Amino acid sequence: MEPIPTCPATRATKPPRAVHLAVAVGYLGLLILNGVQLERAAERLEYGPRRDLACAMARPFATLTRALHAHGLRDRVAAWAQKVGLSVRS
Amino acid sequence: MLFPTVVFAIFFAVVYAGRWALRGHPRALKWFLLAASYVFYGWWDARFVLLLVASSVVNHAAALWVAKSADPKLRRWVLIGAVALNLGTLGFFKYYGFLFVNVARLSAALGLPCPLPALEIILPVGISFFTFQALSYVMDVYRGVILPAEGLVDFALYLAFFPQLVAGPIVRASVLLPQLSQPGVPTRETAAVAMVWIFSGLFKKVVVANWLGVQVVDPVYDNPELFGRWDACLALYGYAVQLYCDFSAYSDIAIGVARLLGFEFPVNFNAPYWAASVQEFWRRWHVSLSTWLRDYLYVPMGGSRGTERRTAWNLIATFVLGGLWHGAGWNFVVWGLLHGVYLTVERRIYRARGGAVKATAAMPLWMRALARLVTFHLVVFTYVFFRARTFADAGWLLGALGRAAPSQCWHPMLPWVWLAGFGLQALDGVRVERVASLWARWHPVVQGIVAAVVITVIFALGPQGVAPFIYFQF
Repeated sequence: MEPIPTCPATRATKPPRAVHLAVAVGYLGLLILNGVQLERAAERLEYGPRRDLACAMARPFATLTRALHAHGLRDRVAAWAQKVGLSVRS
Repeated sequence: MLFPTVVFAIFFAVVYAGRWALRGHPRALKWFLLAASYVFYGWWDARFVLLLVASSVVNHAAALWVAKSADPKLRRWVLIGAVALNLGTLGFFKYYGFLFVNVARLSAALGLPCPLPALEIILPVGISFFTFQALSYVMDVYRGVILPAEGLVDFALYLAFFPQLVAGPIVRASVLLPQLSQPGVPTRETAAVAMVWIFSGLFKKVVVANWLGVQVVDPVYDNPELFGRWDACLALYGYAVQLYCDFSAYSDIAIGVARLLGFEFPVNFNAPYWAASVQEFWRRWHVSLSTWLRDYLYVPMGGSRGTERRTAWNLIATFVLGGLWHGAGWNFVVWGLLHGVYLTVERRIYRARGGAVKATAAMPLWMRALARLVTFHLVVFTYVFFRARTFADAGWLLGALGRAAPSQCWHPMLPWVWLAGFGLQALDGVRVERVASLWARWHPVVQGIVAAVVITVIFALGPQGVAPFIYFQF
């Protein structure tokens, strides 16, 4: 029986603080860059407690995104994708 | 729960925090990951979590029985019972509809009433994957390859572990069970590889697979009679890249997500369209399934140990069953049959020339390039049956290759998207590490910012809405 190819070993003794930091900053960055998008997605949900909760959670990030003008990146890339025809409804 | 969604992002944040908060408490960690996996699975239909729990209890009990019993006859019967139960469950959920339709047609042709009742059965997502994992576990315990899991929670977590639960890779118990007892810790380097896998998977799925599906493949395959040869070609080649990007994306994200949690999964794709023979293709495409079929079906049937005729039969039977594993339909049987026949013919050709198929590695460059081209086209041809809903549709599509008509699906972005998808094979397997080594040198804050930007750009480029992964239906 041939061995199945596996990923290289990930064993280590050091606590992965650098990994945690990268993941945390990544999540924060995603929230800041996509706050407006999250709010829009929450608003598209059906009316009910789930929508209320989603909107309440997304609103602070949307406010932050607008304050920092951080939605520009996504908007510009999306506009370019629209222009060249990459953006189609799945 | 789909990987490229906000819901999964929130779910993963909770699981990631919980996994590392519980790192000093192995028992609590297992329970936590098991609960998270059931939430992940139950997101589609909570009722089917009971099926997973039942499968865990039955298979673990069977494995314990097999391991503890000294009576070879009893061990064998318990194994047969467990295999029958697993295949029976899979057969009921996945193949009952197929059986009913065919029996009803046959009965109608003979003028008899259909002996089977019509049932509306919902196919539990990922049933083929977790059933194969359960089967390999019981068979490995029977063969003495592994010991039974330390406890039911270990086995239940092995079966339900969320990154690979619904669309693979099919991880063997010998690979995952030891990690559940002693999970690893990602270093900066291995976490970098995980991140690159996740980016690559997201790009493949969100940008390439979805776009090719919407722009070219779905319109042509849905109404093949309306298109001519150019669109048929676009759909054929488009589907090859769409399928690769869709399925390998799931594996890439699954491997990356698991690695960030400290678990290693086997590589499932290794640049399959660069294969210079069909045999090599199956060493590179859905590796966890092809090795499963080899170890638990082909080799037990006799493999290549018998006569040439017997080997051919074993190959064809294995691939026909592999085709049926993908879906309950004659089109999948034909797809599997074609691959079985390819492998048999290829084997004969190489044998007649006095070598083995493996010898493609020693070919001159031009011959290897030609072999790659031929292999790719042989594989692309089989996809007609894999993708078409009916034989009539497959016939229409193949017929369209001979019909002259201006293209309705051409788009200026098509070559770029296709090449991007095809070229991403360069990141498959261990090659991803070369790219990740650059990433690993950056400060974690820079890594986080770049990750956020890359993921945002991917989602901004992609079509609106995310289609389910193709392999979910299997």
